[in-house]
Amino acid sequence: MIQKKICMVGSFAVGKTSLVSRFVHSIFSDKYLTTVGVKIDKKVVTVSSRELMLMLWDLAGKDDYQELRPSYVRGAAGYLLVADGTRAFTLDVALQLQKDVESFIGKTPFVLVLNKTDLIDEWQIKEPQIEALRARGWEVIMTSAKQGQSVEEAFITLGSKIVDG
Amino acid sequence: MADVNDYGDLEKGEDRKVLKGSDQFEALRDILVGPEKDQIARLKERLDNPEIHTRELSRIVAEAMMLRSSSDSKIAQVLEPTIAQTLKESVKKDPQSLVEAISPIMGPSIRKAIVKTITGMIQSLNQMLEYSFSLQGLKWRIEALRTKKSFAEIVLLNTLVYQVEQVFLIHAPTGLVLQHVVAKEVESKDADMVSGMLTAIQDFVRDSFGSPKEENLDTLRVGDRNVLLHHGPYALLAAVVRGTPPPDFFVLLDDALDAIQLKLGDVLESFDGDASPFETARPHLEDCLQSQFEQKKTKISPLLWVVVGVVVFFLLFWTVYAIQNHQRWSAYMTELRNVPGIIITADESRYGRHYISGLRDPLAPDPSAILQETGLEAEKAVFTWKPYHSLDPAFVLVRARTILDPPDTITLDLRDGTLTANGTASGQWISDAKIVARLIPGVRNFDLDSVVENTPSEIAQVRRMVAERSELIRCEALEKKIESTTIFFREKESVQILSKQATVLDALLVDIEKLFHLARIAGKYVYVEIVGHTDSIGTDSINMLISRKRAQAVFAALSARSLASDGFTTVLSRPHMCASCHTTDSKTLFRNHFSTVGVADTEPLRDEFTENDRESNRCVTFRVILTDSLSEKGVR
Repeated sequence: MIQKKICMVGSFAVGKTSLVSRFVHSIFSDKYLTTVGVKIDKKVVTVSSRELMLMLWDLAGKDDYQELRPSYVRGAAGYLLVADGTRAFTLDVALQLQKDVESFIGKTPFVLVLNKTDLIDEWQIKEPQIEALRARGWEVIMTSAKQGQSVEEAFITLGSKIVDG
Repeated sequence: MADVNDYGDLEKGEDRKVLKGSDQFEALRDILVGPEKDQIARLKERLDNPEIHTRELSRIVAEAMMLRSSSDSKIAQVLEPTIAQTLKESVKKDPQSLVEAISPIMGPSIRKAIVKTITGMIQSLNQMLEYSFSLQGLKWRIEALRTKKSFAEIVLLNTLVYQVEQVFLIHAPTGLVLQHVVAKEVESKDADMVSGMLTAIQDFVRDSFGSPKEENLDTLRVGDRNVLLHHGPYALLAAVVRGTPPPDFFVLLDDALDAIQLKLGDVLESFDGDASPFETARPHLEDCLQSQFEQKKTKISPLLWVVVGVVVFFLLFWTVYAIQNHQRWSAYMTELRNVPGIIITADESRYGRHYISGLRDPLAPDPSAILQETGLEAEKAVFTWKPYHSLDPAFVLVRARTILDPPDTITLDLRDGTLTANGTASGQWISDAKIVARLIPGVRNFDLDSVVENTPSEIAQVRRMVAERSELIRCEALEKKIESTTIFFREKESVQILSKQATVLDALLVDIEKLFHLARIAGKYVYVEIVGHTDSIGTDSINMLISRKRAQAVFAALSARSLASDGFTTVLSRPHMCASCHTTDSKTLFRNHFSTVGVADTEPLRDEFTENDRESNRCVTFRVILTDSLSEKGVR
């Protein structure tokens, strides 16, 4: 089975851990995130009739005090850029993170995940912004980690982008 | 080839043309092969000029080598002797330049090797110190002497216990696991995630403590587990080891990683997530699953020791008990065989009980009673006795006394079957004894020669004398008892008898009554002197007065009690008791036999040192006088 290192990056409390907690195999507690700054989980997806094992590096959310560690994203085959639809600034952080990651590891497949569609009424990120990003060729998927909506799709999409290039 | 021939023909023709018209031919030749002629000339020059050839080869040689190296290792094989020779030559020529070239990589490697060696030495030293001062250490020292090995070597041999539980081959850039092996019966978590976390932790440590990128985390330690990390350019070998591995193991890990990198270096470099080629690395990893266990000591369970101890204790106890019992029983049987009047005919033991049978004289002591005295269990013995008359002289004599019933004036003795009687007896008893004595078993002769026949009055006199003698002995015993009686007065000047002394006075009166009774039988007169005492405190005259009053108080108390006692009055009024008294008045009778005297502190019961001594001396004592007549009483 092909294995790939995938990073999950995003601002603090955008739901990265929630995205994986219900859908992946995990043996480490969330405590690792606050101590080591990363927690590794495993997710197997089927892409083009082939199974792909994604080793998910759930990186501690970026905030004012915590910078993204280049060593953690090194060797990643792709990454999920996660933002919270109810907080507009998290998208700004995601955009910055995308630049940071790209500067560290070069152009690498990624998917922008806008989480918390279960709170769609409270969203601050509006459709035009999303469309603008899509126009740049970005893959944008709106998910609800709480309801499980489109989470699987996000992983599969990223897997496809990695495999198909 | 055809072209070449054509050229040959052309040249031959040209010669001919020279002869005919070389200019024309030359012109024709220029027209036909002019451009190729230049090319040929250039080609010829390239082939003939090695300088041009070398220049052109230099442009492609690197690419050519690269291309060939990707398909096989021929170039490496070809170049290896040359490079080795070059290095040798270079070192010979100028060693400094090579030192400078390799020092950046040699420095850290040497440092790492030194640190590793020192760590190993410290661990060995720790173990040596730990075991140097223990019992185990002493044993190992003896072993070292015996085997002529160093102590350190023996310690190492005895304590080196380790097991490599898991080995991970991890792709260093991504942290993805390439291969993973686990020792038997070792539980392992998901290798993919563990290898990822291992990589993350290394990154974390390196980032957190600002280590340079080329420096790596070598060891993680949790309890008695070490995670040993060996780094290669693209791969990382992580071994989870329980215990302390030997120094050789580090070399083994290095060798394994080198072998993998040699074999799969290209695949590692171009790794894209497919770990299947690394199946070939599995044997190298399995080679690292080494273990060394301390030789299992056959430890005996403490519970077994307890059980064995209890069993041994009970066995010992039972053995000692059995031996003691046997000795006691033997001693008892020996004693029983020596008892007169008992003949043992059979003695056997069955099921822990002793069956004894034989003959027993009724006068012989009871074997069961003797058994109890020895401490043996009576129920363990079963006796079967048949009665018989023993001819033991002691038994014969007892039997003779029983049968003959001699008077007190006769003594019997048995010697060599002859029963001898001594003393006085009535004619009737002598004649009866003569007949009966012959019937007593064991008495062959009866000697009555020493017996004197007495008259009835003589017999009566003798009887009275015997009675008086025995009563006199009893009188003396009572006399001592009465004289040892003391009536105490608590206070210094007190003359009042304490109520708690009443029982003493009652008992005293009973004894005095008995004494009077016995004295009468023995033909004696009794006088009791009541003696008053004081302590040494106070004047003599006062003390004398107090002592008299105490004696009088006791006299009065005894007198009152005697009057109330019918028995006592009766004893006093008997003629013998008061032969010279011609009165029946009880008080007078009492006064004739009791008197009082005060001695103050002149006859103390104790030497006075304490108040207790003084208290003991504040008392009344009694003096008994037995006389043959009233005039001899000598009372003060």
